[in-house]
Amino acid sequence: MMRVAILSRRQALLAALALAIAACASDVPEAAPAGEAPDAAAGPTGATFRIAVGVDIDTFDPVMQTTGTVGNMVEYLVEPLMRMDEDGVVHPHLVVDWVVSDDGLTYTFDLKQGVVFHDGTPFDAEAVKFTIERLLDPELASSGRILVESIAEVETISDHTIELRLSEPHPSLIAALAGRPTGILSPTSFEEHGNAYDAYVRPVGTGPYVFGEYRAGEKLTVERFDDYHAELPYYSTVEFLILPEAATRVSRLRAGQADLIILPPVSDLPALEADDRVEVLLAPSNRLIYVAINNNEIEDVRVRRALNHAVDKDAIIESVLFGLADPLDAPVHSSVFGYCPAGRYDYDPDLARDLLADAGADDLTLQMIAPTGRYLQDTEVAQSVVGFLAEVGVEASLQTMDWPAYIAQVTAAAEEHEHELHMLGWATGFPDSLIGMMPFETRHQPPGGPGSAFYSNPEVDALLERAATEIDVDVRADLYCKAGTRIWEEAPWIFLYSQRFPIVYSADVTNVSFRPNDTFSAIYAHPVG
Amino acid sequence: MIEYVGRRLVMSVITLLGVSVIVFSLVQLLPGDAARTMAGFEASEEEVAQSRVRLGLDQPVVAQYGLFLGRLVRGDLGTSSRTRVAVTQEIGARLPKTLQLAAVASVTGSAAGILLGAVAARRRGRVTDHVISIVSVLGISMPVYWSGLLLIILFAVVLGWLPAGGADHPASIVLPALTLAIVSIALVARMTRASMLEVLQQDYIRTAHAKGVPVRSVVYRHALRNAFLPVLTVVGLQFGSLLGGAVLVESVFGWPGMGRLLVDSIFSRDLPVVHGTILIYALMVIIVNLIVDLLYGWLDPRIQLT
Repeated sequence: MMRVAILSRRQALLAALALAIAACASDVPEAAPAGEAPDAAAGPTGATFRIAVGVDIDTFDPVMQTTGTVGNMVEYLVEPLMRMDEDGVVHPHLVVDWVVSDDGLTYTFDLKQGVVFHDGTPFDAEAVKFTIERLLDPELASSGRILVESIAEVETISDHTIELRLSEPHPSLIAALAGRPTGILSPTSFEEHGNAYDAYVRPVGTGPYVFGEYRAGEKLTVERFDDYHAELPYYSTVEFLILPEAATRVSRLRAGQADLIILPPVSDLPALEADDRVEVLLAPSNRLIYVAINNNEIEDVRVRRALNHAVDKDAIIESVLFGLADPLDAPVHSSVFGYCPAGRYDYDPDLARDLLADAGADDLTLQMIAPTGRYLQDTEVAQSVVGFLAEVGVEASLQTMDWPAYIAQVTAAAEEHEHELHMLGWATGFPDSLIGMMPFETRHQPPGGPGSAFYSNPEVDALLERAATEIDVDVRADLYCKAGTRIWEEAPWIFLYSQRFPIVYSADVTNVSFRPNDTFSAIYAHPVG
Repeated sequence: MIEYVGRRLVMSVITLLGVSVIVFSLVQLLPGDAARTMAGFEASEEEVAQSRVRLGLDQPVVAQYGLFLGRLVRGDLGTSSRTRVAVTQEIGARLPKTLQLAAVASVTGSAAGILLGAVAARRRGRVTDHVISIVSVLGISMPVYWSGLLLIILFAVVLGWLPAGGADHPASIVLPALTLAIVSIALVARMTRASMLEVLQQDYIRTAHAKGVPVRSVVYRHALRNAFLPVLTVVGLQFGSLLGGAVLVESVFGWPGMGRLLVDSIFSRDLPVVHGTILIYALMVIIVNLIVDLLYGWLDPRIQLT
């Protein structure tokens, strides 16, 4: 099984420090992060790379996107200013240089020159201004708005210089500008191809591929853009095949009719790993899977810790997920800025029973709900959790439902929660605890926020609020570390694991990589040899 | 005849209206909130409320239905909540694919089924008959999801003869159509056999034999034609369930038809698309049954269409 190094705390701090130094000085880290760089020249016309995914494209508009995989596809066409690498570190892409004012409220970017959009119009400060203002437009109600909502004003200083003025310091803005909803669009493209300001159907960006053809429910074809501003990719055509059935995707790969697939059936992984004709990449992801405990109902921290000790997460990872996950030691993933190891909840049913007895809760009856088909093996994992809880005397009844029914339950206000446990995942589009620790802030409780465990700790709230606008990187990391440790100790969730994102590709192809936000990175893939 | 067709058309319109009422009501029973589903997990109350207004869900159900009918008579099926594209466009992009699949599966399934059923009737009691019976039972019992995946593994992965799902190759239709046709074959074969056996008992068959008509001609010209009417009924009726099976087959094979659209829109609570797709399905079933009934009148002069 291929393993990829996960960022340790020190590495994360160093990376953030490097970013901070870059932010304050005029020298910036080099572009071309690992896996994102080509190591082969552009290939012949007709060289096609076929990728099989499981979801159809619901929208080509980066601003309206909510599905990671769709964003992954559109990314071939539309690029944000920054780019994240496989360690979660952000690098400049359409930007050469930037300067931040001392109060952290003004960012001045020098944009890359000589870049053109697919329709030939030049990439310039006007285009960036248009894109950001559109993302901020309340009429469009974009969920990606949160990435840039600290921006109060955008001003073009020159053709290639742009200034962002913030309403409050936003230390993770640079990372946020790697977020796909911020992909820069050609303003002139809104008047062509059937596009409209609020209905953008055919994207025109600066990416290495141009929109070719989209056949609804079937496939998206993109063609290499020969005026691309950076290294040209090898393949002249990329086809995204839409095959919702995971087993069919695997068959397609095995039959040699696809070069790369994502999300095979989990139970196929051992066989695929043993197969020489394919490579299996289990990309680490910052997607945490957990069982939220209703902190209003279960107020005794001993009970919540008991629930954590009752579940054998390693066994679940091994037997239910076939190794497709990593155990947790903090409320955020290790690739996320602000992570520090906070502790462990080892499998210890005896300790769990003792804690429950101490708390006078040794015959608890709880209701649990879980989604089906939302997370890998979600129903099976939920059933396993119920089984483990039963062994320490906690009787949990499980009800599963499809996602729309599920979120109606989970996003309801506190009074309407009839269950005490619910299974969920939380991922951050860009690796910063600003988003990663949102579920633990009192102000982000439902309705309208992900804090569905109703965890509320004023001390943690204060730490997180300070960290949100703290410019000093070390201080910020330390604040998040303190907050994370406190949260971990109070066990508002049963912390299960961080789910990996399986990418399987033909052994005839190489230079395939990923980002730790459930996306594959194959723009510079090329045949072996 | 014209009268008959006219009456049937009026009935069809009434049936469609009835279907739309039922679908509208059933969709209200779906758990979950379409506005919340569209707005997303982290949407605030105001954003969900905005979403509700935009989707027209803040109106009472009866008013929503009225609006829906009003648009329907103008040929407008509304706008998809998910993609903000006209529903007619979403359906229009996928309907030909479903029709193609259903037609190929229906025609090949029925043809093969009739042939097998006739052979089974002819060789009644013999090994051939039993084999065909067993195959029929298997065909009806195998879940299309499972048989589809098996066919992919056999023909695409192991043998490499056919594409594994998708629709990008002319041969892509073979496996999905075959998967669907298996059920058709089974049903039609059994019906044909039963009907044929009954016909073969008739006096006029004995007369034909007595006259010295070759056996093959007796079976396939005389008997089969007369046995055909009940079979036609089955073909017409199972077209409806074929469409239902197509939904599953489209998912397994990634065939870009309406079935996938329906499934996706149910999972994302894209209500206008759900309504529109089901109406189109109902329309298809109505049309096919109308054709079957007209064929009846044409094939058998004894039947008066009233």
